[in-house]
Amino acid sequence: MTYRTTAAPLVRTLVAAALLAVSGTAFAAGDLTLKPTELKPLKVGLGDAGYGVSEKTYNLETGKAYSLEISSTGKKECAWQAPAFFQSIFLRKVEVEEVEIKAIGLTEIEMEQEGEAELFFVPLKPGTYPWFCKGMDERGMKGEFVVK
Amino acid sequence: MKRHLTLSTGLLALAGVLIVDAAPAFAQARAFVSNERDHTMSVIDMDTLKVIDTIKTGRRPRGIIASPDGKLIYLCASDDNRVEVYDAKTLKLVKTLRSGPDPELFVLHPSGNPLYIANEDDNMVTVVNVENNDLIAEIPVGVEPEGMGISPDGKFMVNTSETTNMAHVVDTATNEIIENILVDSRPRIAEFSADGKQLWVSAEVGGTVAVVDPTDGWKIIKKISFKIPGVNDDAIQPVGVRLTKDGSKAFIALGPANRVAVVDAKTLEVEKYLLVGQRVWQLGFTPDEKFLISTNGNSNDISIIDVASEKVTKSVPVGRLPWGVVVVP
Repeated sequence: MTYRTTAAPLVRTLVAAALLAVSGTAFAAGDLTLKPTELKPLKVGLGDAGYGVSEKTYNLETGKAYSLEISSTGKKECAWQAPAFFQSIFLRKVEVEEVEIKAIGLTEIEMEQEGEAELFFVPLKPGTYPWFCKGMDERGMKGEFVVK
Repeated sequence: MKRHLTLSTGLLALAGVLIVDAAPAFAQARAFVSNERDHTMSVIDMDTLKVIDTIKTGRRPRGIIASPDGKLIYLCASDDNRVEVYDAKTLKLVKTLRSGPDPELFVLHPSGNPLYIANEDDNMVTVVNVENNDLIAEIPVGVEPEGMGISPDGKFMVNTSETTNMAHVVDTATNEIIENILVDSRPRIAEFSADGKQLWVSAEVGGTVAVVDPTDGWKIIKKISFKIPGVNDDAIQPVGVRLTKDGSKAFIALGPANRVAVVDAKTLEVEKYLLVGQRVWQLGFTPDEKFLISTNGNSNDISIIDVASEKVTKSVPVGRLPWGVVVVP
């Protein structure tokens, strides 16, 4: 009984979403994770003090595939995190040198020394999501993803 | 009898020749510098201030210390997950010791044994018997352990954890944490004064050095801040800390500020800043404390500081990314 009362609104929402998808742009057409737009690379650990970052804000859209190269100069160890962002994307893969890692989620990319990783993902939910080098945000090693 | 004497003299002479042949004659102090990027160790003659040898080490050499008698050099080969032990005279690798994963800094008990090693990757301090390589204990500490200090009486070992922002005080009799001291962001080095009455902890990202009183519940007496005209506050990143044996002065390496701060260890006031090489990281005194050496990671050199006059007298090029330094008699 309880199940039926909660399920009904959910069904309505799903139907509404399906109708929107059909009537809107090509949301359901083909593989959304392919042909990613290459974002400006994010470099961290810049400047004399090593706290500088190359990009502060990335403007993204839901349903579009992106690739983002994140690299560190190694001047400052960077444990790169974006917890809420990681939960609002579909992660296709992470490339590190010649290795491709296909996992369903991420918690942190730790760059203790100079190094880089490339993320391939599709944003799913709109919102403003912070990213930061853990413990270094007080020194400006942070930014945000704005997903529309 | 006469013949016996002659034979002895002959043997002595032969022994003398053999010693001279086996290794350069070291009557003088030598500095050993770990070069993180080159995977080498530079050996510097402190009389001539010349590099007399460059030794290939394990990968990513960082922490470097000497045995109390100055005969052995201990080196953390971080990427090879081991401690290497070198003879300070022959410069040969004597043995390797277990270290746990990713050793960075370590400290010897004042008696010369055991060795306490910070393992950045698994949040442990590994305690190793240097005589037989036995594992004595693994002490769980905070996240990303780094700095290691030991009280002069050997009763307390202090480890800093980079991400937890704490200095953990360990009772060496039980190998258990007895106190956690919250300091500023990214603590690096823990250094006791020679009388054991002060513990200094540098915080790289926080930009401060906390001075702790071990005799009064491990309370922080003062957090020393630094201000350098013309240098952005962000560039002031305290790392290496050394105190003179008489307890009068402290020297603090300030990272990309390219300065070593001189602090009155009694009043805890900063007296002056000495310009050294780029990204100054660790410091080491000569045994007589006449000179202090700084490793300068970005300029690939070391600076020699005359302690009495508090002046930088010379820089000596070493390998790439010089990290740590120790000087033996």
